[in-house]
Amino acid sequence: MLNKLSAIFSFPVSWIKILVIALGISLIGVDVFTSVKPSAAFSSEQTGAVQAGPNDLCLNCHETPDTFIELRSAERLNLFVDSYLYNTSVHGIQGTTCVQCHTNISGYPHPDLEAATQREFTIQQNQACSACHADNYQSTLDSVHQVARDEGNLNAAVCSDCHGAHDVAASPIPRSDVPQLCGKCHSQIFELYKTSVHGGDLLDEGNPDVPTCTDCHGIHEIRGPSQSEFHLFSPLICANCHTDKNITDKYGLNPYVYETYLSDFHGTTVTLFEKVAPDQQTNKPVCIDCHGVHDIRRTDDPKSTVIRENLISTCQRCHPNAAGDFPSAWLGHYSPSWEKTPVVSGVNLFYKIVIPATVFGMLMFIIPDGFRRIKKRSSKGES
Amino acid sequence: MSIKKGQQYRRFVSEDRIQHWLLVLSFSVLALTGLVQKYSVSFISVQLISLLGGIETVRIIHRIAATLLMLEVVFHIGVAGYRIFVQHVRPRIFPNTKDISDALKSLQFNLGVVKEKPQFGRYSFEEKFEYWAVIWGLAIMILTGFMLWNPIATTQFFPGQFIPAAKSAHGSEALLAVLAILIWHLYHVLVRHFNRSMFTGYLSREEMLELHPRELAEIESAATTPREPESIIAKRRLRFIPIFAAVSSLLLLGIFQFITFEKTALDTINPAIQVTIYAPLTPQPQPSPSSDQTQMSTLVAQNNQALEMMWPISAHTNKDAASFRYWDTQGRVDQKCSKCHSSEGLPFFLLTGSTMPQPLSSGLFCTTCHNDTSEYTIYEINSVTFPSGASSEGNTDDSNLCITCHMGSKSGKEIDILVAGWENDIVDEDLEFVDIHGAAPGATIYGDEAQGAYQYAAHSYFGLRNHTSNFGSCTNCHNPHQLDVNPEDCENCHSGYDASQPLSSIRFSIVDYDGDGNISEGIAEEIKSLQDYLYIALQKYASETAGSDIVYTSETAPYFFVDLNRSKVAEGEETNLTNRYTSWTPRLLKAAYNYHYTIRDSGGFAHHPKYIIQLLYDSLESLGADVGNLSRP
Repeated sequence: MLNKLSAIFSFPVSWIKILVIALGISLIGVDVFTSVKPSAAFSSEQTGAVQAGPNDLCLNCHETPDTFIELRSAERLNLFVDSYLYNTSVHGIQGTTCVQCHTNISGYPHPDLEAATQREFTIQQNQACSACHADNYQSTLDSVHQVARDEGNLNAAVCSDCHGAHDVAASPIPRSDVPQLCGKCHSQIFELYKTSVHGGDLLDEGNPDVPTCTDCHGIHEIRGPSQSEFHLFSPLICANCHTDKNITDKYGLNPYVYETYLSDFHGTTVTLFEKVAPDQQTNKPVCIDCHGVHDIRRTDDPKSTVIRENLISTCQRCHPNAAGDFPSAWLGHYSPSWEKTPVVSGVNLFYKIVIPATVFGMLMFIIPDGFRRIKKRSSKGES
Repeated sequence: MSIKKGQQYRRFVSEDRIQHWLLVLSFSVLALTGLVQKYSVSFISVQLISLLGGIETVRIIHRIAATLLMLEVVFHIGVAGYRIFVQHVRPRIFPNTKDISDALKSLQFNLGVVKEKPQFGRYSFEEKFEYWAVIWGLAIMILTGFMLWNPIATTQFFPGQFIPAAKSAHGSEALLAVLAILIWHLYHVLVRHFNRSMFTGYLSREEMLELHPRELAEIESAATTPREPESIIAKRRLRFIPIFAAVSSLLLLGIFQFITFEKTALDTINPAIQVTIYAPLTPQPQPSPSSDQTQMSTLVAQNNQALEMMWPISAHTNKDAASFRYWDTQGRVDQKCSKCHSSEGLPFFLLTGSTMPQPLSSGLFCTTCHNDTSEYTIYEINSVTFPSGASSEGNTDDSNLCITCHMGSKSGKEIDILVAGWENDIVDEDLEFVDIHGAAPGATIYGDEAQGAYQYAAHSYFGLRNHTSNFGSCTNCHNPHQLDVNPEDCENCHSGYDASQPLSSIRFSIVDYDGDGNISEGIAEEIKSLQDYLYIALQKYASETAGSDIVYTSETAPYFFVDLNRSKVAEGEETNLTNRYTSWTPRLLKAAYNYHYTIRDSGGFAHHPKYIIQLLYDSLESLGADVGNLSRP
């Protein structure tokens, strides 16, 4: 079969066809090259007929619309490949041949399909990416998708679910396209994200400062809340932008949100978990527990979970008995001030005076006493 | 209770020492587990927290120690109350003005301003400061500790900011207390002079003189003070016990309330979000023709347009012919047909040696035969393998390319295999007509070498026909694109023939093969006659031996049908597939195969006339027809 393939490589069938067509077209005096499918343009101008040949061989069959093969599950696998889409894909442009990914195909008839379902086939085919994209493929092995798939959830995304199969686009895709991509499977989350301050700004204005899915979840090693450390470390993700004064100044945000969070009970606990037991879960909240995850809103948005009117119910998620002025026990990411929290400032001031004063007072007695005794002992020694 | 024991003076009874060491224990634990929380980001804190089993455990330890400390408070109240109210011991721990003057004196003495140091009683100002600092600290810590332990309850009555205030106070007070212990207490009991009284309960006379000279004086002067009668003390004790029981119960209840007052937070882990993670928008997306399909069909149309410009209409480009349209309903050309019925099938076969389903074609492309469109060379094929298994080796002219498709798909040998062991004249309902499939001029030309037709074993047949070296290949006669033959090419050799006459009028042979006495008619006419005879013989044999009338049409597969109306002509519903001829005997099948073979190869008179005549003659003979007038070449 290899010999046969090599024979194909030496006979540029398609190239000839294209020339003939081109000749015919020029004869009838119609410039149709603008509408000629890019495959023709690419195969003759860029990749040469050598690589276009074997793809055309495959496309002879696989370009027939609605060609199906019945799998063992009685599902039908569509064998159609749109050569236009393929040839405009990053692989098509670079001249990757069909058999570079479909490595088990070396001729016709093809080997029997092992997959019982379409999904199984897709997952099996996923291996193919690793041949050229080993690093990224390796990264995906730590992702939540891989974990979910290992646990038997075949719906968890593989390479082609995000990148496409025959229509792989050159990476990176625009940041604003990422949410739709993830939304293909996570539509409910996408709906929430759209309403958020981040999603709204990204999708409506293309704002480059707001996070898209991958900024928080990672790209290939996609992390998620099913991994305990994700929850624990998530404040660092938020802090990436929310402590960056270049960004916070631009939007008039408080750049001390992380600092003040860490110094309070919740943040302290989370930090200690991070440092001492990163593999354990804590029920102390991180940013997203109060602000929302995908539906984070501006703090002055009436629907915000952390606007004063809604704060008590947000607290009640973990403190079901919370009532009264309980939410004010949290200073809202602000350091104590005389205007807002005079009691706290008063206490702080009190101890700022009392502690040094007491220590000074004590030393005032101890140090001279100590000196006197040393002196006395040495004078005794002399006499 | 003896105050003096030899030269030792009792300082602390066991209750005192128990209290002290319990305080040491609870205070140390509280300080340790508290300060690591206050300074949680420091390296030491993280290490300690890790050592103690994590922050949640540290907090539990802290609260246990706090509870212990509060219980000590109750114990202390009991002991102090007993001493004051039962034993009527004068409480000397309360500060008074002498303490202030003592402190000042002490300061002056240490600085060397005065020579005389202050004389202390039972408790020096240093110790009183210590004690009341602990009381103060305890009050602050218990109060703020309650707030932190019960923030919801606290914020019912106080503004929310009391919680961070309490937290700040709790931490700062803790720091102050620890500093006080480290600086003040440890200096006085360890550094200045190692005071063993908290271990032994006693001080020596020298120590008493140094530290508590007034108390020593009191002890020595009051050595004979009569003790109160035991009965009075017992009476007071009787009064004290229920009161203290009530008080301590209240306090213990308070402590219990303290630690169980509210359930501040859930112990469980609240999931951050409550949405369905996997909620696909659509079912698994399926590849489907994109909108660019329209663009592709435009391209196909342009292809066709271009082809028409390049190609004359011929059988090869007849896009309406069944040879290209037969597969329209299924959308692509079957694998086994694709070699010859699609534009891509032939090059694919030539390159790979195999076939696969191909897209529908509307005729052949230039590239079907030409492997290069700059020089317009065609695929070179060294040999063709016929259906019989024979190959055309040795012939390297371009005929092989044509023969690849024009050699039929069957060979006469297959019939022999099919009917092997059967009686020649017994009808077998399982037999079906065997169709050479299309014209097989390639096989005809090769004659015996290709064995495309059915060759009777008793006879020998002509092999490869060499139609002179100038006209030995297909394209010597046939225009490769139009496929037609230029009659003028024939004139040179075929004397007496001119191009205005039909090709079928050409003949060289002077043998009267069909026995009609006419040796000037074209050889094609001889063949035609023999075909007619064979048709008659087939019908005769069919009705007499096979028992069912047969009729032939070249138009409709499978060509042979039952002659329902005995008209000897296939007509009307006779050509339905259901009416196909089924009463085949091996003998009939062989002759019918040859009949159809010669009819299909309409150019047989030029391709290999003598082979054709041999086939017809032998078929006639096999069917028992009278061949007496005929001649076999």
